[in-house]
Amino acid sequence: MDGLQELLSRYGVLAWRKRWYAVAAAWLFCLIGWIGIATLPNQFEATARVYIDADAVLTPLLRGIAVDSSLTDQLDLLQHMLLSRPNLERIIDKTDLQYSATTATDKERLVESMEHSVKVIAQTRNIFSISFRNENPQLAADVVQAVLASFVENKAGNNKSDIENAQIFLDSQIDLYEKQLRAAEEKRAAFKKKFIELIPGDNGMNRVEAARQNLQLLTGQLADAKARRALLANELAHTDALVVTETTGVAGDPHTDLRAAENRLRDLRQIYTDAYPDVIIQKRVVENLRSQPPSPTIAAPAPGGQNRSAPNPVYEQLKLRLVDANAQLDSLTRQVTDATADFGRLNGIARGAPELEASYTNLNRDYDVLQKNYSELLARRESMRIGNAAQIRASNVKMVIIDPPVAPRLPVAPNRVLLAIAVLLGALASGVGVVVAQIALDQSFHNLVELRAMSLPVIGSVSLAVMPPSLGERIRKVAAVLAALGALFALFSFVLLFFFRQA
Amino acid sequence: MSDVTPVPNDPAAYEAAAIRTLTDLARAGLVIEQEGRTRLGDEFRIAGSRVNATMKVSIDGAERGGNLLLVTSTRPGEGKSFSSLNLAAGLAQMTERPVILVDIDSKPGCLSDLVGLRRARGMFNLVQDNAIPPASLIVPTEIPGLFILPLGVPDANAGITGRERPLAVTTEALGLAMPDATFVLDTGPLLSTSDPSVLAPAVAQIIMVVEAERTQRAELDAALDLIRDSRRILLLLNKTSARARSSFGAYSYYGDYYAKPVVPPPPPTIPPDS
Repeated sequence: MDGLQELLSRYGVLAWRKRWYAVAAAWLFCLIGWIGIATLPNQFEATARVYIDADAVLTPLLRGIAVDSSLTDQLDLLQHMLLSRPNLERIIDKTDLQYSATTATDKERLVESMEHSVKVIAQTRNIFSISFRNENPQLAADVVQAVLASFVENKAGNNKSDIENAQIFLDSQIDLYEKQLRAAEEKRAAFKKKFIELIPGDNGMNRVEAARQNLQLLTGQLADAKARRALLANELAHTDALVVTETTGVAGDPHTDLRAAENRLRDLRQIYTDAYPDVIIQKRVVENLRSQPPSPTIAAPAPGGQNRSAPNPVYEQLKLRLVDANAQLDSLTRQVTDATADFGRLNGIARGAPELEASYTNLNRDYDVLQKNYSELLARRESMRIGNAAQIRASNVKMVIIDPPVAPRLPVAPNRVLLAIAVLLGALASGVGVVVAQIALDQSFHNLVELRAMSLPVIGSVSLAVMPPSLGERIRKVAAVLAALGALFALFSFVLLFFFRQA
Repeated sequence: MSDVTPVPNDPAAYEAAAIRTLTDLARAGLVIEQEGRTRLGDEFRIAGSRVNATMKVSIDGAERGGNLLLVTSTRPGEGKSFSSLNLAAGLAQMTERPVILVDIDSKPGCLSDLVGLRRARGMFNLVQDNAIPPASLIVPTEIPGLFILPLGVPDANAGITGRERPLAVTTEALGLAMPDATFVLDTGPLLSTSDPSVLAPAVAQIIMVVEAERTQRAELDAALDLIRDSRRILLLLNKTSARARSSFGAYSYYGDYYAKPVVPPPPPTIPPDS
């Protein structure tokens, strides 16, 4: 606590000692500041208010269909248009501003400053104010008038040319897209032609895959056919080519034949007369048989069905099927050979171009995007044509000047009263700052401890020899400072009064 | 030197070097002999005793300029003359040796001016003419053991006698001429005059008077740089405010103690009804 107290008392002592620096700084600051404020030129502001009727009926109707510029866009456009370089140059040439800029660089600077000093503000939805500040009130009004005039000029041909510009832009874009689209198409066709076998078909499978599957299928069928043929061959080997007909009597016995022929004749006679050819033939057969001597030997099959063994029908059938199977096997073998060759060829091609599929997809995608944009642009152009027709029919923007610009009598800037107050505050701050700086820079010795830091023997400290100032003297000293500050405040009130009068 | 009135080379023409009264000395700022014990007086007595101790070492060691004490500071107005006078008075009180206060600070309002010795012959004359015996120029004071050698007046008629010596030589000779006396040399500020830095090699001890709350450390460094070869440099903090607590221990307590009469506690009052 002692340390803090000592520090504070030290600051107090220093501040008191440097009090006149502070007062002088404040005075100096105030004098310079106030004189500066007094010499600042007056700024006059001329303002014009205009009513701009952005077509309230048309806008909602065409929203989303046509290229519809909203009000803020219009204001933006207006601002940029008004503050365009040629426009500003025209305004400067129309008004007395031209005399203030003689050289080219001056003019350049003037144009640049105008870009910021001409203000277009939207007050309500439809009312805009255009204002300009200058030291000369008449000139300020003239400039605003010139700006309004150029606005009227510009607004007349604005929207139309706007749309025309847009149309030209769209047309050029469409042309561009068309070219690109055509190029993409050609590229895609060429690609397709070159790699027709490898491009996926409609079922999403490419030819290589198809060939592979075909080969697999055929191989399977071949294996089946082989197995079948083997089975048939085996079966055939175990089947006899001839079968022995099993009868009741001895096979080939003439008696038996005769009895059979007689039985047949009897049967025929029961149905037909003897004159019926079949009966006659049968009769002859019987007679023939009766006339033949019975032979017990086993003779070679004689005509008239004397054989004892007959060909086996199963065997016959098996044989036929074996032939069939062999034919099929041959056919399949050939097909498999063909399919293998086909697959090998396609596979070779595919291996040679691995990125083929990807590039084909890319080509397709590019083409799709281009086509989409192209059709969008076409639609946009069509809709704009409709919008254009609508806008031309309705006179879309009306402009009425509500307040014409007049030469202002009273300056709007600078606000001298406010500035004077700011200067006073600044002066007080600078006074404090001076003292603080002095304290910060001070390196004096306030007590023995500090002096001992010099590392030389210290023989002692001696108090201030003169008696502490009497109360009267202290009051006088404080009063002197207060008087100096009071004088400053008095001057301040005088300055304020002066500026108030002026305003 | 045209503004200095030429003084005829006639001892009778000079102001009589009468004894300096306490009033004269008080005019120059003597505080040590005032009525009662004051805080200032005590402070000077303490400083004086330390100076005395230092000087004793150098005198006993027969150092060069051992009996010479140079008082200087960095800038004017820091209280050199004031400190010299009071230190000299303090030394005179506490030692048997005569103490001679030598004024070498030729500013207007210097010590000689203040004690009324402006027109008395002194150091200037000694520098001009080494034949003058220094003892003849020394002025006694009412304080026993304290003498003053005034600044002196340049003698316009002296001409070139061949007896001029530099200030440092004169001062050193002065110390040697009166080895039993202690010389307190009141000089100008180090950063404005060359005297103290010229004299510094000839004296054994130097007191740097530092004004509290004003002398800047940088200035003090610069001044000390001019006398850096000196063996004993003592610092004296002058013009400290009474608020500063770290002066000398319970100093303010003693100051208060001596300033106020000690009143014994009142006897216990006995109720009359008992």
